[in-house]
Order: sequence, then structure tokens, then C-alpha cells
Amino acid sequence: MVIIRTADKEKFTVDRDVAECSVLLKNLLEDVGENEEEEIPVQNINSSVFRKVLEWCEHHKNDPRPASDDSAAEESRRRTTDISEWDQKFIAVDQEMLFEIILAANYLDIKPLLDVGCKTVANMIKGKTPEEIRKLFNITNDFTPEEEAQIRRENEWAEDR
Amino acid sequence: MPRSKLFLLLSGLTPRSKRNDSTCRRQVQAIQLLDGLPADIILEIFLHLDLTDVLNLARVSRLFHDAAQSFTVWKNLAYKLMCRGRRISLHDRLSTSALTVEELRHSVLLAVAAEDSWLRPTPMHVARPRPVRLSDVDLDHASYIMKFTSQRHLVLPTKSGELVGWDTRTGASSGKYDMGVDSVLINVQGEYETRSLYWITGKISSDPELERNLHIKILRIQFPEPSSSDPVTFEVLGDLVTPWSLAAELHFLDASQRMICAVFLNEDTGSAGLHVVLNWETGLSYIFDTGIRYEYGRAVIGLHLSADKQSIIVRSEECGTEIRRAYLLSEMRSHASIWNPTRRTAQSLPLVHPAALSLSQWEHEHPSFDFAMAPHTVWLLPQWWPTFPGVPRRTSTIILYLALLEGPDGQTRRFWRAAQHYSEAVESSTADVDRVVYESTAMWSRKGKIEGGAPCSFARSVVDIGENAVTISLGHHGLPILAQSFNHLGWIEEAIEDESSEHESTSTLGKLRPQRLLAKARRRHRRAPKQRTRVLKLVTFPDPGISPVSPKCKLNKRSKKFGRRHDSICECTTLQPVTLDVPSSVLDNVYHMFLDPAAGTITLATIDNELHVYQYGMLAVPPVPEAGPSETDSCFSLKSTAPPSMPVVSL
Repeated sequence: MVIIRTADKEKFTVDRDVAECSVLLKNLLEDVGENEEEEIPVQNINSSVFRKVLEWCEHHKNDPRPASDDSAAEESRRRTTDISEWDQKFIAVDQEMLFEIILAANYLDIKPLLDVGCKTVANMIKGKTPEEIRKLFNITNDFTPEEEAQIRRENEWAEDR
Repeated sequence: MPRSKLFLLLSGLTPRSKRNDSTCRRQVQAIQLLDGLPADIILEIFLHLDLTDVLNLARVSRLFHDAAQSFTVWKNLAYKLMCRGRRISLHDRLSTSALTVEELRHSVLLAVAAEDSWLRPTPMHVARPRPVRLSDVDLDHASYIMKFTSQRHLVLPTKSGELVGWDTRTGASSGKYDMGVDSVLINVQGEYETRSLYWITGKISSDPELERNLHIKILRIQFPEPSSSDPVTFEVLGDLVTPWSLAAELHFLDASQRMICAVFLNEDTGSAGLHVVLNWETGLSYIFDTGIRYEYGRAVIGLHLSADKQSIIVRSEECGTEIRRAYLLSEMRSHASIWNPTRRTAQSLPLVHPAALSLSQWEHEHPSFDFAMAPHTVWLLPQWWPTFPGVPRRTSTIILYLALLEGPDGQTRRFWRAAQHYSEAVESSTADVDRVVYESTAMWSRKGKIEGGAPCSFARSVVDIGENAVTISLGHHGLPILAQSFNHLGWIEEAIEDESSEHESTSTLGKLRPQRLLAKARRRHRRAPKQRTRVLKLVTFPDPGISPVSPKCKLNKRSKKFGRRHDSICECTTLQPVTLDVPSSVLDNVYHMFLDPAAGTITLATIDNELHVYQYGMLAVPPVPEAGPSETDSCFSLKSTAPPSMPVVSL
């Protein structure tokens, strides 16, 4: 068992094999050794998000771990935007939580979870116009009219698709 | 471990993403926003998007616009295209890794836009075609060749037996080689990393003692740097004699190892002989009889080295079955000698059995091919172009079928049909991705069978070319003028326009303006009642492993109609061609055409020595050379001096 303390000072007692879904924690635990008394602080993650991440790790603890620096595997996982049914349900959260999960997965270095998050965002973007994307994610259009005209010219062919 | 040390450890760790301003800021920010995510996560999201969505997201705000300029984004899009068997323009670079992000972006846009255009019901070209007159060059119509590794230069075979390097920038010839008027071009292979081509030329030996032999030369054609004005140079690398049968069939095995292979008819046995040249410089070779009944174009439809380069794979076709035989190179090497053509009759050739054998049925042979359709010509088109590491390599096989039917007037009518399938994918090796790799098919297993490279079970496409295809006189039945690429097939069709068809079109038009009616009437008056017009037809084959991709595809119900049942998983898709907007007046004079999917162009060569380039999708900027596109999937035919039974040789 491993004790992990989140940014809002909540403590989580986690199975070692669940915690090791995170490459960050895995490396850390290897460095720390068998000293189980030690609390591990994760300063960037709040308890609500961490609980969610743990839920994912718990479900995926027996998945084969992706080998690092395997460029072929890296490429192949990008070929598809399919998300498993369980993951789809898991990631059906509001935008803020979605981004927090992505940030946490990135910080904790959990590539498959980061993928699920990024694919979900990608799926939200697909088929939408720039204006629809702005509206959906509350993004301000910060182009000058000149810049906008320039970009439109660059994409002239794509416009009439 | 003391707690302080743990803290130190944690703070010293660099997580996968570099902590940047945006992540720090988020602690103060109440709500996490998409555009507040770190740059590398934004990039990661981009990698899951297709081209249209990438372009749309780039227009959302500056942040996304900047992220969309990243090399990774375009490399990823190019990679996805390559996985679908698409080729992208290399912009005269020697390898994919040398492409800049702007070039990569442009290449992806060009390829996707062209593909998009060619899937529309009526593709329209985007630039006004400017015919290029090839002054001082009298093109040899039967020996036209279109595969080169330079965007700026073409090599044009002329009627007088010259190979002319043509600089498309200056519109003048740049270097030439005289191969002799009686020589034919037999095969070509490109080599990107050296910007050069290997060509095999041949002529029937004039020496009466050697008359049944073919005198071949291996040429290396070196293109200059695109920026330099140096001429194209020609160098003879090898000069040797090989047995000659009805047709010259010569294949490159490995140009870097100076290995080629000739297929010939062994007159003593009636079967196909192989002359394996192990080194064209020394002439060291091994010659043997395969025992395969010789028939031009079918005894050997493809010949290449195995992936491990330990054996030669010979592909032949028999009754709709593709047979792949593997012959060990090590055995050939131990028996190799310099072949003496003068003693040809005295020697009887050793019969060599293949070390491994593999059969695969072309499933579209039966049952949808219900009447006398016989394979006429087969093209094995390997993915010869450089790709990024990890892109699977396949071969696209296009089989042209012909049925001869007796017409009511006693004339023979020729029906053409083409079938296409992809081979199973083989992952390209990461080591030599930018070399021209022949399809790396055969892998050895203990059982002595050949694994990999078999036709895959999906996405068999069938397209009816019909009886109106415009043919060139080659062989007994002629050959349609075709433009084939890894995933396209184009042909020219002659349509007979008569009164009835005009009526048909008016009825569908609904409202007709008087002017138009008048124009129509005028046209009708001017023309003979039956007018032959030519149209350019094109089909895009479905993606490898996916069926069908185009909305124009539909499942072939033929087999059901004929009450046959078959349990195979074969899924034949009948493709409907689209009609390109190339005017009939241009098509009337075309004798050769070729298609470059990477540039989105179709180039038509006319009998009056002009090249007409039609650009589809979007304009190619920076400009591709006026005289035509770059590295093309190609096919070329042999000179008309060749015997009539000799159809087109494929690459």
C-alpha cells in the first residue's frame, strides 16, 4: 500500500499496482523503496480529480503497460479515435473535470489515460466550424481581421469541402 | 528516506510535460479552459484530428493556429495518408525526413485535395492547363516512360532512339543519350536518395550467331540538384547478353547490388527460364528452367527479392490463382558462372524447383466473372516511394481482363474489365525506410511456405471499362490507354453521342433557357447525327483493408443474380467511375497518360509532342514544373518495334 497526499491535503491509501499505472509514481516508488510509511505528495492534483484518476487506474491496473520510446506503438495509437465503452462512461464529465483529468494524467504520466482525454476532446472538436469550437470551449477569437483574412486565403480549398 | 528528501525528489522530477506558464496559471484560475492547457497537450489533441478538423481548429485562435504549424501535426497527417497507401510529394527532397513543415503541409494538402476532387461526381481541374510543346523532341509513342525522381526533369524517349533529359524550367533539352534506334526500354527503377534512375534498355543482338539473344544495357540516369542548371547525365553500368524470347521481361532485383533477372522462353521445354544476373558489372549469373509453362505476362507477373534478400520470389498466374515461388539465391551463387550465349543450344538448362511455394486465389475470379473473361495484363504496383517509419507496405495488383464477344455484325467486340486488390500489409523496417524497397513480402517459415504478401481478403474492387475504351495498337487486341496508380485507374472512353442521348439530357434539365436550346440546336445542326466524343474516366480504389470507402461503391450483387453461392469472405465492390473534365479535343490525340496522386495531376501526352497537365484539388504552390508532375506511378510500354504479342510492362 502507498499513501498519497493531494494538493488539498487529503490522504489516499492506494494499492501499489494501482499507483504504478502512473509512471511518475512508479519511478518514485522504486526510488523510495519499501518504506511504506512515507506519504507521497502530489501537489498539482486535487482530491476530486485524484479520486477520478484512481478510479481509472483501478479499472486498468491489469492492462499491459505501454513500452516507453516505442515509436511504432506511439504512431499506431494515434490512428484511431476509438475509446472503449468503459472509458467513454468514465470520461463523460464536465469540461473542467475533463481538462483536470488530462492535466493529472499528463503530470502523473499515465499515457493511456492522457490518450482517452485527448481523444475525447478531439471527438468534441470533430466536424465543427471554428465558431462552433469557440462557443463550445469558450475561446476568444484573438485574430485581427487581417490575420483572419490571411488564414481564410490559406485554407481556401478546405472551405468549400 | 526523510520526508524532506522526498519533497526534493518530487520537485526535481520533470513530468512528461514541461511545466509552463499555463499549468502554473491554472492554480489561480478558477476554471480550467481548453486554451489553458499546456502546449504539448494541445499538440496531443491535434494528433487525433483529421485534416479538415486540424484546419478548423487552427482558425479558432492564435494559440491553436500556432500549434497547427507544428511539424508533428503535419507529420502525423502525412503518416495517416501513407498508411492508406497514399504517396505525398517529396518536393525534390531526398527523403521524407528532409521535408520542412511548410513542404509537408503543402504535400498533405495537395494529396488530400486531389483525392477529394477525384471522389466527386464531376471533378473539375483547378488551373488552366497550358500545353507544353516539346520542341526538337519527337516522342516515341510506344516507349513513353513516366517515373522519375526529379520534379524539374523528365527523360523522354524519342523516335530516333535517344533518351533526352528535359528541363521543365527552361523548356529545353538538357543532356541526352543515344541508345540506338532499334533499342527498347525495358524496365526502370528509381532511387530517391541519389536522385537517380536505373534503366534497362535492350535490343535484339545483330550478331547472327547471337540472334536469339537480347543485348541489354543498364543505364544510370543522374538528375542534377534541382537548383543547378547542370544537365541530366547518363552512364552505362552494365552491358550484357541474355536469352531472348517473344518478349523482353527484365526485372530489377536489387540495383544497389547490381542484380537483375530476365525471364525467357526455354524453347526446349516450353517453360519459363530465368537468367539471374548476380552482378551486372561482371556478368556473373545463373540460368535455369523453372518448369512453369511459359506464357507472356502470366508465367511471371512479378519478380522480386524476398524481404530477407535470401531468395527470389516469382509470381505467376494460373486460372485465377496467384502462385508465388521462392528460389534460393545461395544455391544460385554457388553455381554461378559467366553465361556464354553462343553455346546456348548445346547447353540444356538445369530444372530448379522452388524452395517454397504459396498459392492464393484471386477470389474475384469466380463467381462474379461469369463470362469468358480472361486476364490480359497484370500490374503489380509496389509501394516504392519513401515513407515515414512504421508505415505498412503493400502491393496493389491491378488485373485487366478481356472478353471477346461476337457482335451481331460479325465483328469482334472487346469488353474490358479491371479488378484490383491490395496485398497484406508488411510493416516497413525502420532501418531503410527511405530506400526504394520492393514490397517486402516473403518471410520464411519452417514449413517452407511463404508468409506475408498474399492478397488480402477485403476490398476487392471491380470496375467495368466496357467496350468503348480507346486502345493503342499493342498486341493482338490492343491495350486501353490507362493511367494507373497504387489506388487509381483511369482510361479514355469513346462515347457515341446521338439524338437520343440529347433528348435524355434535356428531359432531366427541367427549365431550359432559350439560348441554350438554340445553342444545342446549332450544335446539332453542325454535327453529324452521330458524334464520337472522348471522355476521361477515373476510379479511386477503396483504402487498403477498408471496403467500401467511396460513396460510389456498392456491393456486387452479380453472384446472387446468377444463383451461385460462395462461402469465401471475398467482398467484391463494383466501382463506378467519375468523368474528368478533360476536353474531347485533347483526348483525341492522346497516346499516353499518367496520373500523379501526390501532385493531383493527370498528364496527357499527345501525338503532336505536347504534354497537357490537368491539376485537380488545389493549386500546387510552390509551382510544380509546368511540363508536368513529379515522381509518378507509372507504366510504360515497349517500342512498336517489339513483337505484337508484347503488351505493356509494368513497374
